[in-house]
Amino acid sequence: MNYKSNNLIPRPSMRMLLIFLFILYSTFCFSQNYKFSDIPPELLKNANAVARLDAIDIDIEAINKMKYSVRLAITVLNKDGDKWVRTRAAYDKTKKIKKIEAHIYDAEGNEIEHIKRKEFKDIAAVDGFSLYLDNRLLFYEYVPLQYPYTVEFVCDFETSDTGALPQWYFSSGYNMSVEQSNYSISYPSPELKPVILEKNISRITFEKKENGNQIVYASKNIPALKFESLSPPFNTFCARLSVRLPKFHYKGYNAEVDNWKDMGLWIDKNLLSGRTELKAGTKEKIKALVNGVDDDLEKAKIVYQYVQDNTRYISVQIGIGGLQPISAIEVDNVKYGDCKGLSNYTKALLEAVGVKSHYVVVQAGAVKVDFDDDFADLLQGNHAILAIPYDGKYYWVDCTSQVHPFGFIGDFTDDRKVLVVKPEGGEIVRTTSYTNEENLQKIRSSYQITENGSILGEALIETKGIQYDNRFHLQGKSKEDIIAHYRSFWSNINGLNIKEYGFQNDRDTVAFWERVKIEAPNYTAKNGNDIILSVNAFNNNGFVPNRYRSRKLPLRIQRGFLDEDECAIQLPVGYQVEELPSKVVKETKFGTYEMALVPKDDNSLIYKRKLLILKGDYSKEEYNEYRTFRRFVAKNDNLKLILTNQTND
Amino acid sequence: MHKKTFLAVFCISFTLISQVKPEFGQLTPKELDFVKYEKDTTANAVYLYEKGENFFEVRNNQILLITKYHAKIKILTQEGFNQSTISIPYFHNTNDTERVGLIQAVTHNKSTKRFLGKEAIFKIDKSQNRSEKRFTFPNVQIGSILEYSYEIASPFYYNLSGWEFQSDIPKVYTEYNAKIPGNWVYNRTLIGTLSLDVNEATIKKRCFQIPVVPDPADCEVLKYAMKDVPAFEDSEDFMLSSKNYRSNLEFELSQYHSYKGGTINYTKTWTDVDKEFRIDQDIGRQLKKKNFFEKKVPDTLFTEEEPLQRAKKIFKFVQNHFTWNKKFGLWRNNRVKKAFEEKKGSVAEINITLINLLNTAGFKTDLMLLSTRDHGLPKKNHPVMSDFNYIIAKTTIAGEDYLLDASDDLTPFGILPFRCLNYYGRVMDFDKESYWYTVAPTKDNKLSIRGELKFNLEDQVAQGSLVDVSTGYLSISQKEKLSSSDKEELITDIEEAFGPDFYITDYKVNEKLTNDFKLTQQFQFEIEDVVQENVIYLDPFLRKFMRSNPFMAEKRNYPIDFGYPWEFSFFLSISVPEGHRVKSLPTKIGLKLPQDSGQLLFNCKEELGRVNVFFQFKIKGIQFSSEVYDYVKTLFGKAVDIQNQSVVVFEKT
Repeated sequence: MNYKSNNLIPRPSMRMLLIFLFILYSTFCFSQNYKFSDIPPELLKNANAVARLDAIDIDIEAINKMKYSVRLAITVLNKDGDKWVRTRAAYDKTKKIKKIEAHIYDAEGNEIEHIKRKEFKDIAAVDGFSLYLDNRLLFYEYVPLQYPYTVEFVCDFETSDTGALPQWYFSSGYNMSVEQSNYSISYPSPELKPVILEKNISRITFEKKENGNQIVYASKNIPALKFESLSPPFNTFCARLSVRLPKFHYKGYNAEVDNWKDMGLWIDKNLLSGRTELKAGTKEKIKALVNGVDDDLEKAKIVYQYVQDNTRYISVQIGIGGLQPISAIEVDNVKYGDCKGLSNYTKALLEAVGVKSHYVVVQAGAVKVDFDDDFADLLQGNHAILAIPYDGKYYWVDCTSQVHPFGFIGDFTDDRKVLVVKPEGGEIVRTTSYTNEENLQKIRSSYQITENGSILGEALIETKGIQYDNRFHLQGKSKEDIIAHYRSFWSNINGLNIKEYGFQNDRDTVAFWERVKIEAPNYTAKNGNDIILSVNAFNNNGFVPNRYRSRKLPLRIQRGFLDEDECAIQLPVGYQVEELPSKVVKETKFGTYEMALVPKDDNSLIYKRKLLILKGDYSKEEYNEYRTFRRFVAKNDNLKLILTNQTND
Repeated sequence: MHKKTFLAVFCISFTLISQVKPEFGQLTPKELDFVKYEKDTTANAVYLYEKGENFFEVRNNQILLITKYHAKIKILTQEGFNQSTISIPYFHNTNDTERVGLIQAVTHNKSTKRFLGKEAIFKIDKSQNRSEKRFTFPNVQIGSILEYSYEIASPFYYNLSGWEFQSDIPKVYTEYNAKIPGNWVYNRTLIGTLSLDVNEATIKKRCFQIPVVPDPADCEVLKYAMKDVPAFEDSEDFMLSSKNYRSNLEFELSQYHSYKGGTINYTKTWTDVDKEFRIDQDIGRQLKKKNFFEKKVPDTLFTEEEPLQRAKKIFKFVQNHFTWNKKFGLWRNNRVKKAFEEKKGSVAEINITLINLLNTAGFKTDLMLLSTRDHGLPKKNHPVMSDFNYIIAKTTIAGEDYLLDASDDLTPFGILPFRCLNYYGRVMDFDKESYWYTVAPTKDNKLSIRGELKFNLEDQVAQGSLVDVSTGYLSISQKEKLSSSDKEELITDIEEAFGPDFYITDYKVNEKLTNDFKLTQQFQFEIEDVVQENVIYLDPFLRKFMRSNPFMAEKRNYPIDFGYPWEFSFFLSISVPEGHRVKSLPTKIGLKLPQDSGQLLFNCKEELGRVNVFFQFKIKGIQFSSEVYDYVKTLFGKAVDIQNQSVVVFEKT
């Protein structure tokens, strides 16, 4: 697998619970001095910014009334730290901003600017992919004069939604340290006492106090971490709090939720029920399509194909629409919808032909994120798909894709815990995983070297699993994009010309074949009378993980893959390899590499190669071993042969 | 640049042009039967028909500029679906607003029609002054024809801005009409290489009346159309703004004869512009703050005797004093005093401050109007003020001219940021008259790496030292990197650039050989895993200047423009390892571009127990037309091949 081509085809983002992106920070009042020199030196290491105070103060007054204040003072040390400054807040119909202001201080802690509410701009929140969102934004853009400087942001909110309490991160990300982090929540009565899930909290020192109807967490002096590649996502190891109310109100709905079963029931009853009705004409039409088909899975495939052929993804988010699908009738009318609308529509069509399916909420993205088994809240998940139960297992389908095969979800929603919403309640289930050998790429190829040093070649590439997911989109691409893909895929072949290509996509077995004919003038180099040849033309994997002088974070290989290559090489007439390298076999805990070059006849060689990378979590100490392994692979993939002209000797 | 002045040719034609005005929602038989666009079979969607119209109308006692728009788009592939979401931008300020109305949209699928509901039209506020109406077509399928129309009523007359003939998908037919009363005069320019298929201008007598004025005004009636307009090709690497090439008819308001009497000149001749600039609040007057600055800056700024040193000192002072707020800020709200007090401002405010100070110091310094590379080249035939978006200073010191921009912290004196390398600008000489002036980039932009390497067979490593010298534009980018990262990060970055086996054992910036124009870095290195059993293969290009050829496309649509000439050079002296001899060396190569506008040299030689590798890649020209594209492509391809494929081979004796 070629890392360069991993992000080959951009996919439509399919966020659902957008609203929650905007809720994050929030506080209370005490005056403080933000002198730069007061920052403890250990907080400056690796830091671009220091949160002098990051505090939220939540006051739940009733099930449908909550106030919270955010107070965030950030001292920015350099340009890269600017992004940690917050001078904006989102609001909507059910969430009001009661107060918003910011103060700017210089390095000595003297106030140099006071930004009042009227200086904040009021605009629509734009996410870059939705047609419309009803969230709005107050924001102020501050241009720093010099570093360090401090921005203190104060914002008070009032909302009727208690179903989406701000989550708390004791530190918010890489290259940012925290001097003081305070979380406080108070509640009116025991039945509205929040449930708090502490995650990775042992990573920090903290104090927790409960007095009366108030719970307070405080932590001091959290040092900054540096980002390191191939590490697990920040939110899987950082200290944070998930907080929810057992009884809550959300956008006009009341709920009582203790676990995922309850949550599923609530979603089903309030957000989904009655939404799958269809016009009689549509029902007739879809029934006619499956006429004569008995098997439920076969019916489901036909329905999915119908949805793929007739709808497209468009996101519109209004009110509870952040959570609730638009009705199937509406989608049927306009033939578009967001992930929720399209999933619900497909569900309705399946219902019409007697096939059962369940609405599923998932956290989508190439990085796998699980739903928390023991903590049922509305903040998890950003996407909706469908689960079709058949023969004792679930088939997962993503209705926003117009191209994915039935039951194949690719790296967008694979191998993670999701919420399956059933009439009898919610259930946490893991989606299909694609790992190691399942993510296969097999290249059978040949090339011949001409007298003038060019090569002419042909490759047949077969892909499965996630490698299929990375590749099958090629089918619908323009010639320009396809050629650009091969130029990047085979970036080791400078001057590559694509002579011919053809694709075959087997949606039933989920396998994709590419047949490509290439030509590359000057692929080889001349050293006097000798020819220098980079043997491995068609799968030269130069990926070497970044170097860290002292690695701090563990290593995660999310999925793994297997590449198998076999290439027949025809040498130019009269040339021979002086000395064939011996076979290479390297087995490690991270996977296996094999390479062999064997003579076929006088004038040709067979090159064989195999690279298996295994999914896994490894310690930070093992990172360097992995890097050494990949260096070994890169070096061997880059093997050069000297071809000598026998006739001249 | 392909641009021609648009001559309003008056074709008096008495037969009325008899294209029947299409009714909204009706398709012609030809449109209904349209299956494939033969002229471009790769198109994902195509405009079958597009028409725009501008005229003036009195509504509620206000004269408004009306824009009407009507289009029909055929969807040919699934990728073409992205044409089905429409945004209609409009402008507003505290006093007034444009109004978008009469939005109609319908999706035609064969003979069925699905109209857009009112509730599916959204309003989005993009910023304080800009909003848009947005909708997406219902029921879109491959083969759908998407038809829509709308109207914008605008109190802002300058918003009659013209017509974009060319877009990202092809157009079968596109037409623009305007009916402009004689009270308004607009300058027009046709940009791009395509020519008009319909080009008509007639005078219509007594066509526009407002209630209080007895006599109706005559109008100029314009009709321009193009047939089979190809899709506009995407931008390519290394080019000027694509705005210079896209077929587009530009209008700019030049004069308005008010009904109340009197004439407002917006733009007419440079003489008028010069006059206006001198008294303009935001520009001319901002240049006369000598007294203010004399009081505010340290006296020592003006006491340096040597003129060039004095000017440089002032330049540095302004550069350090201000933080640039990343805005260009040419036309509106320039307040240099306030900016100076706050220590931050736009490019305009920073450079106007610089001009003030240089004039105070006794240097004849003028303001120069520029357009950045992204913003397109300014038209030369008449002043189009919106073509400009940037201000720099032009000063003369001891008979030498210098162009200065103090907005970026690391720009050396006399060098403009890359964004300004857009060929020419207009110097607003308030003592005489304004004139065009050429922006000539510095020619000294080099990156040169020299080093030596020897093998340590016992430890199976190679060791050596390198000197990396960069000048001009190539030094600025490196200095930015230096100033923004700590040493460990920097070393890691350099190592990554060299490759996974490369380790830096010592690194320093040679301050003696470093100045405003130049950066010298020196380091010692070690390479692991380079020694093999019998034969040693060494890739002499420890560092590659370019890993792949940026010019791979079969054909080039627009001229290549590098902005400035440059040169990469590499020299490495390798000691032949003990007990070894040279087995083979890469073949010598020399290549040149036509007219000596670029060259490539590569030579490996064995001399006195060493192998000396010399590589030089030089581009002397700045712009290369599409005709010489193949030569440039070949030269770059060869340069990349040499760097990627060269191997020095040693064998045991």
